Amino acid sequence: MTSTIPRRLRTPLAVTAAAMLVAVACSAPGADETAPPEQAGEDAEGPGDGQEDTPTGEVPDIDADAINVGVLAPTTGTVAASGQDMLNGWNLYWDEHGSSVAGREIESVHEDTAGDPSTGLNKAQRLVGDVGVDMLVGPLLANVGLAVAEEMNRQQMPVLLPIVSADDLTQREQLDWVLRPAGWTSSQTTHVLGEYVAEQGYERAVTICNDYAFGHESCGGFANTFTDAGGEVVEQLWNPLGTQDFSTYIAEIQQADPDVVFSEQVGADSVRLVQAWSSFGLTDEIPLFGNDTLLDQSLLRNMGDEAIGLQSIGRFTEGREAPATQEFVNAYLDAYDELPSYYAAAMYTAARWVAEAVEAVDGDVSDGEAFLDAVRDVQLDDSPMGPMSLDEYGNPIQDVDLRRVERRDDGRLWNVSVETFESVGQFWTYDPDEFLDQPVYSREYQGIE
Amino acid sequence: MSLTTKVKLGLLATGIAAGVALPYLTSPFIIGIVTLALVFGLFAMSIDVLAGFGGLVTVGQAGIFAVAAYGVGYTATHLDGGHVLQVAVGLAAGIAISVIFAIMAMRTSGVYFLMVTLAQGMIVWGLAYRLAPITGAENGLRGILRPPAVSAYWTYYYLVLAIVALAGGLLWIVTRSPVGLALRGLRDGEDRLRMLGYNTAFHKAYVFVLSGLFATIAGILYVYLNQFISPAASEFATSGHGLLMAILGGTGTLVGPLIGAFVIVFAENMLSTYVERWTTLLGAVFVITILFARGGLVGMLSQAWPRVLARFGHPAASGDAGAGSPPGAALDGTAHATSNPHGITTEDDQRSSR
Repeated sequence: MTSTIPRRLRTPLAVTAAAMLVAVACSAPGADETAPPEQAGEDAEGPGDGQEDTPTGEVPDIDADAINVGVLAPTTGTVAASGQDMLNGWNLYWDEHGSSVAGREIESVHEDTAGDPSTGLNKAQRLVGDVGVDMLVGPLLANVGLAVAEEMNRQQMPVLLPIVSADDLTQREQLDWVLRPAGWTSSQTTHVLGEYVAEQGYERAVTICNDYAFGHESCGGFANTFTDAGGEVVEQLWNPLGTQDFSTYIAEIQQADPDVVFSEQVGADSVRLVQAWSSFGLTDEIPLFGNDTLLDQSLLRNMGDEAIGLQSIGRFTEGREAPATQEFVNAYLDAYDELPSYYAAAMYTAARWVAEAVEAVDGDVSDGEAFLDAVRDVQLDDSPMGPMSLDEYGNPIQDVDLRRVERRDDGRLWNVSVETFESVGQFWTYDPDEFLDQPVYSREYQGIE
Repeated sequence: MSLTTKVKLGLLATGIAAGVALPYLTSPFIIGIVTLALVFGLFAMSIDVLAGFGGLVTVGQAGIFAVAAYGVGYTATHLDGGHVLQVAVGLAAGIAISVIFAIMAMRTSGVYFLMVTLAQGMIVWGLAYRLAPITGAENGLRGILRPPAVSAYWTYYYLVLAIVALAGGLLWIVTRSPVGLALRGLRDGEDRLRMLGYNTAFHKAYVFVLSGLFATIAGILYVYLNQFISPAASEFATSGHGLLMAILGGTGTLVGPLIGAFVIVFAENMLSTYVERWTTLLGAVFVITILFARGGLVGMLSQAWPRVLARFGHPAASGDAGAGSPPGAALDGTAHATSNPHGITTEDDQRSSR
């Protein structure tokens, strides 16, 4: 053991090891600001029996009389930043409103899915089997959500998905125990955009979307309504997730000479596409319209002047003037020193949804089906995302905004509302039965006839 | 029977007894994690056969693992095949892809072998993402149910335990067979082996397919465990995980990768509940393992064993009574001769003679 290490190396190695342990013990600078509010949230309203130092989601403090909510969000791995946003939004609601609903405490137990379906599934099992939660909320990624939803549906555990937008979960492959309060389908917002863009007189569109399910579905929504309203999709480009260099795609777009471009991108791809768009001088030449994620607040934080003036469609607009939105945005800004992304807004709204449903069943969530019925019946007259209620398939009917990026007085970028489309459902203006006879949007099927 | 052998048999018996008793002692969640660790243990063992015994470091094993899992998943979801057909298709797909990979990689070694296997793994990952009609792309394939007889979590656990034990036993026999000897020959001196008239490329391909067979079995067990498969299973990270499990536990030991799998799977699924920065902690463990115990956990234990004996005055190791004194090369030699006759011997001998 130690004897296999040369003597001269032992001290430096011991120091390295010690330093690593210290690094583990202390939080990272980024985590510093985010972790404590989460615990503070549980403390402030909790039973107050000494939870001060419990790490996120420690089990032994579970209160048997409380309603336990398992929150699945990735706080490590590639999507950790957005996962943290989810937790922030969720915790902010309980901080503001207190965690006591209908005479019962709401206890949130967070588990990290690490953005991996297998880990997410195990964590869900732990929350259900060992912790004994009454429902699951989250996660972020579609593949994790699908894995968890399928298994928990078998176990008859209510699953609420405010972020996971895979179309078929509330369309062709509905699961009885899975609902999307404050959630959405990928094509729900882009349906609106396609028709709007066509109505503005644009005729030839090029789409550039990520080559995976979310991209196919977002793009399909746009292509379907754009062509139905008389437009022509002249070319569809599919860039892989993690595209480093958009110059070849930009060149193809220039060659196709469209009069409008639609793009769905997520994460760093959004930042790079917007940068490339500006540095190739296309900002003033070809109008670019994005989906929810292209210009989400979580990405605007990393963008500069190149994003100003770009338009996108979205179900959460941080610059929406309604008081419900601005109160939430300012409270979030106070608590976390940044503007809320749609991840935060959806989880915040989902928390309210849960609270109202628990209220409706008088705090008795032991009957999962009755609780889910209560979730279905919740009507939010107003929320940071506007009014919302679930359709008969379990997906929200909600307001969708056309948004434009502007710079605030404090120097931050945000989206402001240009036009609001009220009460948009997942099938847009199509007949649900006819819509469901079509296959789900994919690379092969984009709704273009 | 030497004392070390007795200890080993004792540990083995304890391990089996604990494995059988486990479902009566703990929760479904823990059983789920243990089952996952067993599956990844088998996967890591399949990597160990190549990397530990043959010195052929593969970073594309997840490709084979995933192809087998997708074979099962596709048959279950698209063809509505019965479980026998599902497993048959999974096995056939896994073995077929192993043969193809083996032919591609058989003439390379060292870093070139590593690059070829890396490419192979990435190809499978890319296809898993792209071939949406077959793989369901990023959303994966869902609803791959277990056979009714093993649908309960604990019956499935026993099945996995039995198969992993059996597969581990088979691998143990293989590594001690002439094939295993040739494999070690490949690692220690491929040129010499070729000079002696061995067809080294053939042997590599043979062992590659053999290793692929066990990765295939692990893949099939994995898909029935999760009842779900997505491209995440074919990612480079999965291959990397398997390799790390083998290194952490001790390459060239077979039981090491299993132990490594337990450590890593438990860290991922349990530690993360309590420590937000569990990845850093795991990283520190890797660094410490590489620096302080290059034989992995198993290597470290088998080195420490003679010293424990010495503490208690056992004659076999009395030479090392002074704890602070550097160990004699002879002692290291004996330790390996009795407890670890293969694998890390050469490496450690080189180190002690340095």
